[in-house]
Amino acid sequence: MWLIKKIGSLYFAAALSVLLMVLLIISTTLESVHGTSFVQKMFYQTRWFDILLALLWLNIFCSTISRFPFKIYHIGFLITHIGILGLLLGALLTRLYGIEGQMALFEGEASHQIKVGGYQVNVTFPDKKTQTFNLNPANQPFDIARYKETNLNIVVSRIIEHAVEQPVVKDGGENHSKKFALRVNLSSQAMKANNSVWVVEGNEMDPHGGATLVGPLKVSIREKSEPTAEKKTPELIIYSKDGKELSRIDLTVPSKGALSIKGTDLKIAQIAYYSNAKVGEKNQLVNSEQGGLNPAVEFDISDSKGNKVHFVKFALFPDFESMHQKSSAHSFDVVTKLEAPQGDAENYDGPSLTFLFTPDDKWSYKVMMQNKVMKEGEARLNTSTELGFMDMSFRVDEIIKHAVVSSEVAASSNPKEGVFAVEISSQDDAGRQSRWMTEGQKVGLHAPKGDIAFELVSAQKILPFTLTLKDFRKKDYPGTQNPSSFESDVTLDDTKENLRLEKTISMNKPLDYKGYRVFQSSFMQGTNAGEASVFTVAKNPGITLIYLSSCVLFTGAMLQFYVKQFSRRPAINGQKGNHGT
Amino acid sequence: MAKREIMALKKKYIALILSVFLLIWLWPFLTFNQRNLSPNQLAAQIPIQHNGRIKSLDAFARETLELISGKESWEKKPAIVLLLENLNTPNSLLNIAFVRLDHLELKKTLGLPSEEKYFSYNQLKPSFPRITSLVQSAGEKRDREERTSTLEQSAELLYNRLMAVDQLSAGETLKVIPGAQSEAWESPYVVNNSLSKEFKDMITLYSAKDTKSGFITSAQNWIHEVSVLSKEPFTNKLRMEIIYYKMKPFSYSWMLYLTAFILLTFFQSKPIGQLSGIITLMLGFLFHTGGLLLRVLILSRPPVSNMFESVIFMNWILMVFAFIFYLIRKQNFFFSCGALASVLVMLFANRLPVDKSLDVLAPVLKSNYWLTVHVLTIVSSYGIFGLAMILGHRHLLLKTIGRLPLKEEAISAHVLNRLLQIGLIALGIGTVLGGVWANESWGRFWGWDPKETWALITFLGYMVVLHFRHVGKLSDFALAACAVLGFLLVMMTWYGVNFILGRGLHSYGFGAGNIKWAVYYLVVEAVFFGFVLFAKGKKV
Repeated sequence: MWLIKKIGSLYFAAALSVLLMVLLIISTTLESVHGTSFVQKMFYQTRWFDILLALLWLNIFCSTISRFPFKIYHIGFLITHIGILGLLLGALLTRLYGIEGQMALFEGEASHQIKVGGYQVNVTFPDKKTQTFNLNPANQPFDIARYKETNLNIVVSRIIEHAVEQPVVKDGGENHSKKFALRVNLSSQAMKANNSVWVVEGNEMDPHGGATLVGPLKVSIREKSEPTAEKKTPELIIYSKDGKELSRIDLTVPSKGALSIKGTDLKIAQIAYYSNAKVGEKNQLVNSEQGGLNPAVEFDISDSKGNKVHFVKFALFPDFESMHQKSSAHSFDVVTKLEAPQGDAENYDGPSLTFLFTPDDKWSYKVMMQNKVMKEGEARLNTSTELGFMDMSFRVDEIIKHAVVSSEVAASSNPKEGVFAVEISSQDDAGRQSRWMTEGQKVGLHAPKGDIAFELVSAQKILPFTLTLKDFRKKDYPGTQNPSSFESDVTLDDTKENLRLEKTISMNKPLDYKGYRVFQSSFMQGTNAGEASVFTVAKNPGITLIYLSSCVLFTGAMLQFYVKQFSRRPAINGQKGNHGT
Repeated sequence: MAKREIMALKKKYIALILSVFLLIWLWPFLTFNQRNLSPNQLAAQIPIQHNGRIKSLDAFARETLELISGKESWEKKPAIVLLLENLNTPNSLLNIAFVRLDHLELKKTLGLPSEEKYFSYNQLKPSFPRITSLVQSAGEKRDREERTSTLEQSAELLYNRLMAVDQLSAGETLKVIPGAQSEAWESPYVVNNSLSKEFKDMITLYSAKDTKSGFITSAQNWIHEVSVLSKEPFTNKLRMEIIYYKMKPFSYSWMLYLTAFILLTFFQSKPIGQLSGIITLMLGFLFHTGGLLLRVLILSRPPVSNMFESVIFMNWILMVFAFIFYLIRKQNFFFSCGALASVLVMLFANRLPVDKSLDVLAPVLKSNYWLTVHVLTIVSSYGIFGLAMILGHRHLLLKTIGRLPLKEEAISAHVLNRLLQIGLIALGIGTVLGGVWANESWGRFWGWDPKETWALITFLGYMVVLHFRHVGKLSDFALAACAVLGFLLVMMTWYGVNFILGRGLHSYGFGAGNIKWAVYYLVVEAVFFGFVLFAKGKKV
């Protein structure tokens, strides 16, 4: 009884509540910095958090039974606290037996699985047997198989949540061919950024063709070359459908009326050339003042029958025309092409930083924006230089002349970057082999009786029914792109019960079946595969108890506060304790 | 005069003066007719589809001007006049220096004079590449769930302002022609048909100052034609909206509340001071209630769908409870405290960097019974705690300077305890109802979302306070202090989660906020407590 009194004391309750408050303040603050999944894993889904809530339950339970034998004035107190106990029990039930997951369906697609968060590794052994391994929340390595006869161990050796492939740049020494790499530090006070990047000359691993994009800035290395003196004359070339050149029109000469195209009955007229074209406000072409960037030509082609089509041709984006011109009623059997001097070979007009080297290894830099040189100068090691915009500055920290570039998988320093990656490895007397895989990837490892196949997929749960999406509809607020509602027509099949349900699920109108509820939670549009509807499937076994307990709790609180005979508190230690009722 | 006589006099005068004011206030409603309208009044009634709703051209002009320049009028011209004068010569809008830019660093980055506050579209045109690159980098950061810098945020705001000017000058946003097939309306400057010609002609008449006969007749025709063409009835809502903007109910109510506070605090010894104080307070409350009602009627939804509305509603509940406790306890200080709290809250609401416009809702917030009850209950609890907070301040202050009579101290403490009890029940029920809504909407009763977690923190805080008070371990003074401190938790739950933590499910339409106000509030509270503790320490 003494122990019950102690556990159920108000001071213990207050201490627990305050502790809980402090922890929750910390967790919500951390959530704001590190994201929701971080705190779910570090706080709300942990064993110690469960224990804390269990202690709170025990405290309330002991405090309740320590009032025994109950008097009439205990009624308010009792009902309130029984309500809280029930509420916490309901939460426990849901925590233990509840299911919650996502299901995304394209129109016409069916599924009986939901993604419940987290990942699993599916392993197929040489004898075609399969086994599923769930990754533990702490991302600890674990064993998959052991072969005693050959002393072979197969393990999941590393799990990285935010894995990125990082280039590793090393100095290969004189034996390697010459290839420059610079380690450049870029910082900006205004954008609160400070990055170090490797910029490698003509880096073939890089999709930007030897340039590295840091935010909106493009950084690259190039050999300094004298500008070519040769200047091209802008010409409009007309080919036949089979690629034969029919005519070449010099665009520097002002056109005089209609010209006929050789070998056809076609005539070309109204030729207008723009050395740097830009689409103006009324969808017409105008010349932009900034350096020769994107030349274009406009012209009409007509045939003897009087069909006439207006053409716009750009030198840099030959396909632009097809995207931006309404399909015309008529087409001619010729192909046109514009050849004209272009400002820069690349069609990149954003800010860029280029490092240039001369054959005798002298370095300089050039800052460009909208194809205009903003700044240039000599590049020196370990010297910070301002870019002249966005408050950015750069510093070259290291120059490697014979760079050898390889890549390695590592955890990103930025927790919002990277993908979930798992490394599988095998170790035996012959040595170690390992493979990385990301979601949806399949890899194989050699084993004594043939290859073992691995696949990393999202953790799933099988439902006792199949859901088919027949149709998805989205309605917008009139005149806007903001959805006002969306809904899905689905069919639910339960083969065991031989049952089929047809229903429309919409926001706030879920489908209920066997304790499961299917909610419309979101949608995907604009994908190649068409529209997809995203459902949340949930089973919440504690919910009835939670609802019931809440009613009990607030009934109790009202009785406690407003009905005097249910809430009078007897004197403690001779002190009158009844305040404020 | 004997006290009873004063009371009798009070009742009579209050009734008389209130009914006179009520009549004056309702006058525009009663006399609102279509005849004898000035050209601008008529133009205000032209319906337009904007942000998913049919509204008046007046509201559209105000909201657009507010977005671009942060003001409701420009160089003493009402927004609608500015709009009408520039509609048929759209490019002239590009030269008006009315695009607001406050952020010093951004001005510096764009190479603009730092002492100027307003710029024209054309003036900013050379800076477009830099603005867009900042907007892009903000977008990229957001995709990576990183925080954006204030420079990027103000670049985004500037970008939106420029876009608004751009779309307005191209006439794209001017959707005044009901859609023939779809629900989407069309702009006369985008489509070309007989209606668009008619609209442009009407505007030309306005610009030519042919307002007497020409514009008025054609505007009346236009409004009639549109109401026939449109599939939904909007005329009454449109009229209410015009009245709402004209009446500015919340601006009047805070001024009335302020007057009431001054009268009730500094002139309460004189019967006339008390009387006029109570009358102004009731008038303020009338405006307050009327404004809320109008919003509900115009939008056909409960008045708690964005931060502005929830602040105004919280304040309304605060006043309701001030009235209730006045009726029970017959103490004027409920009124003076309520009035002061209302002034502060309304000033805060008007200064708040949030959307005050009357706009549509995200799907998940639409027409849901549980949501409505949930938010109304929660915001009510904030109002109750708010009243407790202001009464707590009064209690602490008067006690510290030794001006709190014993009898009043007992009443004050008792009422504080009561308010915290009611608030706790409302907060608890509201939070559970939120769980019910979440369970009905996505199958999860509780998910440790920051907003619900903070509601729990607040609940636990007040619960511990009430438990200690119940067993007699908390003095009146400490209770008052807890009522004040507890409200810090409320502020964090209500405002801080959206604006400081900035994460979670409850962020629909609240947008990025401003930490400034939270800091001011904390500083004021710290100074207050510093004073109270210092003075108390001196006494002991």
